[in-house]
Order: sequence, then C-alpha cells, then structure tokens
Amino acid sequence: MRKLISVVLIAMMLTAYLTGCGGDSGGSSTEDRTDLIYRVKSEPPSLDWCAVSDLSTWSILNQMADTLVMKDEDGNIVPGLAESWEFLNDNQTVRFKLREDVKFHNGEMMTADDVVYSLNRAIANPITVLSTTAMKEAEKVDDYTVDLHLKHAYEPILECLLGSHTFITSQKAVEEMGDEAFGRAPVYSGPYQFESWETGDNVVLVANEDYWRGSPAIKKITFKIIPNANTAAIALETGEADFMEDPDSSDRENLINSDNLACYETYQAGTFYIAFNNAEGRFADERLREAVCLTVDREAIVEGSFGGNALAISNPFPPTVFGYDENIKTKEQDIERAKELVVEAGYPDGLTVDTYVSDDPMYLRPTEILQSQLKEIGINLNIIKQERGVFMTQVYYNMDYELAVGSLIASYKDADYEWVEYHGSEAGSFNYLLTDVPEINEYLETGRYSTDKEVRQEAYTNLAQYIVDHSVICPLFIRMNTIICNKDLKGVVPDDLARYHVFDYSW
Amino acid sequence: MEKAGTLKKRSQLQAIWFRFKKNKLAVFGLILLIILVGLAVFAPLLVSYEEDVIAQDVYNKMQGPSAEHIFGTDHYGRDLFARVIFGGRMSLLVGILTVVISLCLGAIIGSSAGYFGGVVDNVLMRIMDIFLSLPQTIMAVAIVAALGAGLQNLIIAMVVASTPWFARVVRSTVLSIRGQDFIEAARACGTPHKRIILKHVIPNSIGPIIVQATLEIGMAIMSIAALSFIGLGIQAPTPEWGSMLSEAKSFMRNDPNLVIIPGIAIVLSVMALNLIGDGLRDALDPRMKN
Repeated sequence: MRKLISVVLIAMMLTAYLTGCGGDSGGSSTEDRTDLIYRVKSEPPSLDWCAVSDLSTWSILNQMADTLVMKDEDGNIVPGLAESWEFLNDNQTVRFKLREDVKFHNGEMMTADDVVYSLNRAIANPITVLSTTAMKEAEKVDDYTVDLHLKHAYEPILECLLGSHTFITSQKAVEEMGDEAFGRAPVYSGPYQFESWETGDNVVLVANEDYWRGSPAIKKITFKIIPNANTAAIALETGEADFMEDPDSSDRENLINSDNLACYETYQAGTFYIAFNNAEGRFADERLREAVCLTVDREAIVEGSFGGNALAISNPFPPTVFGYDENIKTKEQDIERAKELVVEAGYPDGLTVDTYVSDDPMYLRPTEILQSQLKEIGINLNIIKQERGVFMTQVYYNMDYELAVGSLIASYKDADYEWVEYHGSEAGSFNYLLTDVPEINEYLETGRYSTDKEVRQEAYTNLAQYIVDHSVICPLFIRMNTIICNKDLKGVVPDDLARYHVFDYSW
Repeated sequence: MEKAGTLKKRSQLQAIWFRFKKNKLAVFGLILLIILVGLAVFAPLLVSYEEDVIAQDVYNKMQGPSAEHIFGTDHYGRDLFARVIFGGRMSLLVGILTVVISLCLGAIIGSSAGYFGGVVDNVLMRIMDIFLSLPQTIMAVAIVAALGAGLQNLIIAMVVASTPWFARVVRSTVLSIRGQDFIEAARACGTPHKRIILKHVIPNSIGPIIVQATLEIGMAIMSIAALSFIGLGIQAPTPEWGSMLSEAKSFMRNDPNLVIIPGIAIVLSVMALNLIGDGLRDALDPRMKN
C-alpha cells in the first residue's frame, strides 16, 4: 500500500513539473497586446540618472527620460528637447532653442530653468562627469533658450548630450522630493512615466499620453528583475517575458532556434582587455606586459567564452567610435619570445599572480582561459572570484591588483571617452591602469582640444599605436549587444551602446 | 595470555565482518567505495593532470562521449572523465582528512569531557554547543568567507564545523563506559588519566565513533561540493565535483552530461559511505548479535 501511494505521489509530482514547464507558451495572440515585459538583470539602485552607472538601470531610464538631442535610425544627430542649436563664441558655447510643448510627468511644462538645473546637476556629479567633462556651465538666456558653456571648444559635445548622463528633468520635482525620493519615483519628460516599483521583483512604467512625440504604441512596460541569465532565457521561451538583453552564450543557440523569439545583435561600442597595473607591482615592467600580449590567443578566448559569438580584436579601440584606425594591430603571437621576456624580466622560474575576477561569466570565462594560456610561459594566475561590487572596489576603486580582465564601454562614440582611462590627471580616480605617460597625455589632449578632424584622428592613431607598442593594455575582444525578444515585436533595432527605446516598438 | 588476547580480538573482528557481510547493501557500498577510492588513488596513472585535466582545447568543447573522451569534454574542451576522477581525489582526500582531524580533536575533547565530568564537561560541552547551534554547512560557509577560499581554509572550516559532532558522540559513549568496573580497577591501580583514556576508554567506545566517522565523510563530501558550488571551496582550474557542477549549470540544457556525471559521482560516493556506515552500525551493535 505504502509503495503504491509513493508511486502515485511521484507520478503526480512529475506531471505537475512537466505541465508546469510547458505552460502557456507562445499560443496566445500578440496582436491586441499593449504591454511589454522587459527582463532586467538587477534591481536598480535608484532611478535618479545622476546616481546610477549600470546598464540595466539605463534600460529603464532610457524609456522615461529625454535628452536635448537624439539620434535617428541612420545615426544622425537630430533635435530632441532642443529644437535647434548653434555654436557661438569660437565653438565654446552651444546655444539651444528648446521646444515649448514639453510636459514633465508631474504636469509641469519644461522651461530653460529645468534644462539649466539638469545640466548643472550632471556637471557637478561624480558619476555623470564621464560625459560632462568638457562642459563648464549651463546658463538661461530666456525662457526657452539655454547656453551651454564649454571649458574649451570640443568636437564631440553633441555626442555627449545623447546619453543617459545628460537627461533632463523637472527642477521642481527634484527639489520638492529630495534626491532620495526622486530616485524611487522619478519625474522625467519621456514617453513612459513611473508607475510602481516592487523591490526585488519589478518596476512598472506606463505610457505618457501627453508625450511631445505622440503617445507610444506600447502602453505599459513591466521591468521584471531576473538576475540569472539562464532563468531569464527560460522565461523568454515560455512567454513569461518578452524582451531581454545579453543572454548567456550557452542559451543563445536555443533562443535563436525558438519559434517564438527573434534575435537582434550588433558589436558593442566598447572593448574587453587585460588591464595591467602600469605603476605598481610586477607588471609595471613592460617586458612582462609584452610577454602576456605575445601569448594571448584571442580567438580561443572568444570561442571558449562566447562560442565564437564575439569579435577578437587587436586594436585598443572599438571600430564604431571616432578615432579608430584599422591599421593598428598588436604584435603577432610569439610564445618563444614571450618566454624569453619573462626570463629577462627576472622570473626564470615563472611567477604567480593573484587575479581578481567578478563572478559574471563574461569576465570569469575569459580569465579562466587566460589562466590556461599564460601557464605556458610560466605566469600562473591564481584566480580569486569576487562578487561584482567587491571586485569593482578591489580593482577599479582601490587599484589593488596586478592584472585583471577589464572592460570599458564608450560613454559617447568618440575616442575621447578613453581619456578617463589613460590620462595622467585621472590616475588613481577613473584611470585604474595608473598610467601617467607624457606621450599618452599629449595625444589625448590633442584629441580633446583640437577641432580639426584630421588632427584628432592622427592623435588617436598615435595613441593606439603607443598603447599597442608599450603593451599598456592587451586588447582581447568586443562583445555582442544582443536582444532576444518576442518575434512579433516590431521596430526592434540593435544598438552598439545598448540604448533601446520601447517608444519605437509595437506589436 | 598474549596469544589468547589476539585470538579473541580476531574472532571479534571476524564476527563483525560476518555480520557486515550479511548486509547485502553494505557490501555493495563497500565495493563501490573501493572502486571510487581506487580510481582516485590511481588517477595519475590513468590520465595526465597537466594534459587531460587542466589543459584547455576550446575548439573541442562540449563533445559527446567518444573513444577518446569516454564522458565527452566540458566547456573548455577538457576531458570530463579525467576531471571527474581527479575531482574525486580532491573530494575524498578533503573528506577523509577533515574527518580524521576532527575525529582526533573530537575524541580528545569528548573523552576529556565524558571522563572527567563536572566543570570540565560543562565548559567543553557548552563551547561545543555554541558551535552546534549553527548548521554544519552554514558554519563552514561563514568560516571560509572569513578566511578566504582555498584548500587549506576549506579543511580548517570543515574541521571546525564537524569537530563538535564527534565530541558529542565520543562524550556520550565515554559516559556509558566511565562507571564500568574495569575503569574503576584501572584507577585503583593508580593508572594515570591519560593512559586510562587512551588505553581503556577510547578503544571501548570505538564502535559508535567509527560509524559516525563513516557517515561524516559522506557529509563532508557533500559540504565540500556545496562550498565549491558557491565558489568558496576548491578554486579553478583544479577540478572538484561541486565546482564542476557550478561551472556546468549554465550549459545544462544542451549538454546535461556535464552536470549529470559529477552529480552521479557525488551521489555514488555519499551513498556508498552511508551504506557502509549503516552496515557497520548494525554489525558493531552487540544487541544485534545472533
């Protein structure tokens, strides 16, 4: 009898499990849907654009907030909240003429005061400084005209105004609510407005019917927080979610082959590389850095980490930013020379290097493959896995490391974004490579202060050449920005900076 | 006298073996364990650590079973069979080492507490109770998190976490022996405490301790796997069953063998140890004598 009961129970459990998995996949029609379930990787720390620097929060902010200028499908800069703009005062001031019909989510109309407030808030903030570094101050001219004063003439200024560092918000909202409350229930002017936030589960936005570009086709976006990429992939397949970024490479094939899903991808405007501590420790010795660069097999890293779905690079800059020169290449692989260099540097018996890595597979897998490759020349990596936050403190903020796999995603598509990483004035703050080399500083300064495209290009070519010649970093690969979404969702375009706008989508 | 003693001992061992042998499951467990230990011990003769276990060959990743790789290859193209048996080396080594060390510590603490009683007993066992108030695995996680991951710290953590269990078992058996006549007799002869504990108390309480130790090795293997699974145990590229599971979990849907094989290895070894432990308990229990 007991046996019989247990058999029945097991059978029941199995059926529940199997049917539970099958669920209501696909079947339902998407024609009359007006909502979208968008998977995000992590809980946003805040929805205040000046308080966050993670991609998954930007996915939410990009739906809620607008910028002064925007990009059209062909990549041209077109008017956003600003109707038009002109360069004054030797290109050291940009005068923006604002739209007069923009209403914030709290019902206030946008005026020059709000724009001045928002830009100055971003200029003063340590996170958004990545994009506002060339800006001095915003100043009101009249109710719908704003002057943005620059520290110096700056070619890529409009590029800098496109991103999530320079959103425009209502001055009244921030000042009345205070920074913290604003971060929990923000007010912007974009196509979607904040509706609710359930900690650990979801953030809901609803359409802004008064949006100046018209009301969006999709009326409600639920950002579902699903930290594990494999779980998220299953949610996509069963129809529990409609949209996700960056699936794990192990799921990509399944997702692409799934009947209900579509995949859009393009190369990211950012690079992954081996970061060396150029100032302290053993890798301050150029010979050791060169030995590493001569040993790395990038194709194998791409194959082993991403199933080949990434781009092995030998140039320190991504091809889609201004300043990229395709002729710059790192030295060819040469294991014998690398071994000699390790001996010349004074380590005939090899060396062991503590290598910190965040537990995210996109860093962990390349590091593990690197460990196996560098073993050949006597460099033993002792991999220490850390949680992302701990890793960032260890390597990016405290710079207590010798060698690590790092990444830098462009804040704007101009090689000037590399300033923070290499310039001596940033050493110890954003520059965790701790480089303070006169040549590098000079090239970066020429690139930043010149307004002549050719001069700038030459400076960045020289910079890239210097980086490669002196093995300041070792470029590894460029990842794919991948979108997996319901195949019935129309208007989805991949983006190399992962700026996705649900406003353009429809069922 | 001497001769009679050894003769009696052997016959006692024979009696235990006789009872153990009758338990088919326990014998099965023993055979399984011998195979697993054999594979672990002779692993370096079967495969090369440098070439098969840690050398990557990413262009040959996720291969199915074949003549060259009998379990296939993992996500870096390493031979799964080689990794599983080298992983077993780690698990069994750490498991046995942990149990031996904590058994020794536990025996000292437990027998002192049980034999002396009173204040000594109270102080030692209350300290052990503090350790026992946390589940073993959580205790180990806390210690590894504080000391940092790595083989040595893993063993320390496991020892700290499992010593109190041994102390408790040893103490309870010692308590039941303490009052018996032969101990009284030894005391009356003026035998020092150390000698009484080592020569008389412990040998007579060895049965329950051995059973506990056998079961504890299985527990230890599970804890090591759990710790490695969450990244606190053995560090890459050294294979360990738990970390193999953890690495493979994102490939589970397309290549289930990557998780099934190390999973089965854990199940088999823990099952073998539990079967043996159960068999020993029955065999050593004098009331089960027929």
